[in-house]
Amino acid sequence: MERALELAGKALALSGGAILAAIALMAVASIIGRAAGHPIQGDFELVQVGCAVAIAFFLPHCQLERGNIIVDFFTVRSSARFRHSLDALGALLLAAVMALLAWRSGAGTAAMKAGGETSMIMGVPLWYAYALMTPAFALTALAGLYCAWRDWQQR
Amino acid sequence: MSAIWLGMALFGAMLALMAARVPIAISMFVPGALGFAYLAGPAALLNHLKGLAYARLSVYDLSVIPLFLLMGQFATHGGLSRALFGLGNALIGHFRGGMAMASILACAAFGSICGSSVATAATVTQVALPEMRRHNYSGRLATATLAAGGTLGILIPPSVVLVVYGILAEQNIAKLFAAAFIPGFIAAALYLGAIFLYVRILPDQGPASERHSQAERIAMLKKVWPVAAIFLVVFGGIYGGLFTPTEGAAVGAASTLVTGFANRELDAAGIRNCFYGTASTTGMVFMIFLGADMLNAALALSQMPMKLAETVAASRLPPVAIVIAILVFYIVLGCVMDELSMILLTIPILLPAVMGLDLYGLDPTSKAIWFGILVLCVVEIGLIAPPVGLNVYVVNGFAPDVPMAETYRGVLPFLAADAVRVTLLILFPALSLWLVKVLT
Repeated sequence: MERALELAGKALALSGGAILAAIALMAVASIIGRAAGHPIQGDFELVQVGCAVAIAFFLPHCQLERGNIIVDFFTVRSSARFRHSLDALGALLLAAVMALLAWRSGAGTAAMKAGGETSMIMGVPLWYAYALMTPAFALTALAGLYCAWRDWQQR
Repeated sequence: MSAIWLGMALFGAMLALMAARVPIAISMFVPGALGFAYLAGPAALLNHLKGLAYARLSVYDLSVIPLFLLMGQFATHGGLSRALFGLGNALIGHFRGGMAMASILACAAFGSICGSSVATAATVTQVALPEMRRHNYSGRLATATLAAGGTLGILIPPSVVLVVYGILAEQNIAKLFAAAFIPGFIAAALYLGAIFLYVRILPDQGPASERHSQAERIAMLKKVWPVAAIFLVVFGGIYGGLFTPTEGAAVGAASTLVTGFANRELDAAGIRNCFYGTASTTGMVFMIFLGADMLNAALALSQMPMKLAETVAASRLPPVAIVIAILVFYIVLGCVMDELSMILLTIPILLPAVMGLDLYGLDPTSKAIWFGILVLCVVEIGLIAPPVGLNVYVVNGFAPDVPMAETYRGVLPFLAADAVRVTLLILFPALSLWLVKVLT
């Protein structure tokens, strides 16, 4: 279970990185194309949508690596047991917020699909992006739960 | 409940959660969501959340951040810091304190292609710290130099913090970058001056070493040119009107990747690590964005920022005194908070107040740009000042034999240099604004 979560987080992070690198190369191609008189239509949109998806894909790995920063200034002197309990609570709260976001962005996906909203130039249906981001939020919620459990064990 | 009181309650709840080790992003999100639900109703909150994430993550101007972070990762893993320190060292390393000065130059040059200060500090430390220690530099001078030098990473464009400020203040990012160049060079020059005085007073801490031959210098120069080329292409393109800052970041990421390949420093495993590094930092940044967005939505509903701006404008205090008070507030806040959360949290509240002041008769755009540079300078002080300077932690982590207190002691001359710089920038807005006029 833990292994699967770590692997899923890493796989998503690598896919996000690949998307980002692809966007970078696409932007370079678009600049060259523009200079040569053959611009890529809708290149800005691809950057926007691609970055949104890539960033969402980065979130689970970030939480599993404890990348979400906390302030430890006020608790440096308290016991390790107390700190681990607080960390468990914090991770639990993060899981709750991400679960809420996953639920709402699921609803957003449905609304986008029903409304048939598309991007301005290329006409890409926006619900594609929503549908890709939602599972990433859900996985971040799971990652938060897992971190909370691990902190509680370490008390 | 009046606007100010509700705003204060939300702020208090956020601080309490932060103190209890809840991730900063969540500490902002939870009070924000509760405040929003209280002011606009739970149904409005649930509706707002449907599109919040996509709306925030798909802003074109923000796309510059993951791309610059990716570029910084490629530069870090691509061995570019080694070449930069090598050149600085070959040129001035033989002087007393010269290796420390070479480290500052390497940080400044690395900062011109990397937008993060922790990354700059860490990558230059890995190459410069062992060299300095091998040449009998004191742990105090060596670690403090690198911690302070790292702050040049966010001062000298590209700068992630400045991008975030630009979005919040609705200012052009290319103009903000232009405004940061001269303050960045002043910072580097003052740091060099601080080292020069330091080793005059305490010569044992940074002894002179052997001179490098002309051939060595030329060999190093050959390794460094890609950094200069990348910098010139990225910023030349942005200011030449060839592409947007986001596209500039894309060009930078692609060219650092190619350089890393060409230098045989990046392989498949290296690229995987670059992606993981980008994922962690980007995830952290955008989680804070989501949290701050929620809190700011609630604060905007409460109309607290507007009320506060009215109160400040009616106070009749001297405008520059108010700006200085705000900067001091940032330095204090910076002792416990990171620079990004600070800016995301406070700019929407404080900027309207600043914009309402008459500062040297500046027009609104110049005022917002100038204030942004000042804020950038003071939040960066929090990275090296006690009790929790993030850069000090990072650099000290590479030097297990140097006590943390030693590094903090060594940082003092650099903090003095920072104070001089901020004073200069407050007194002479033209230092920030002149280049903006020339370049854009």
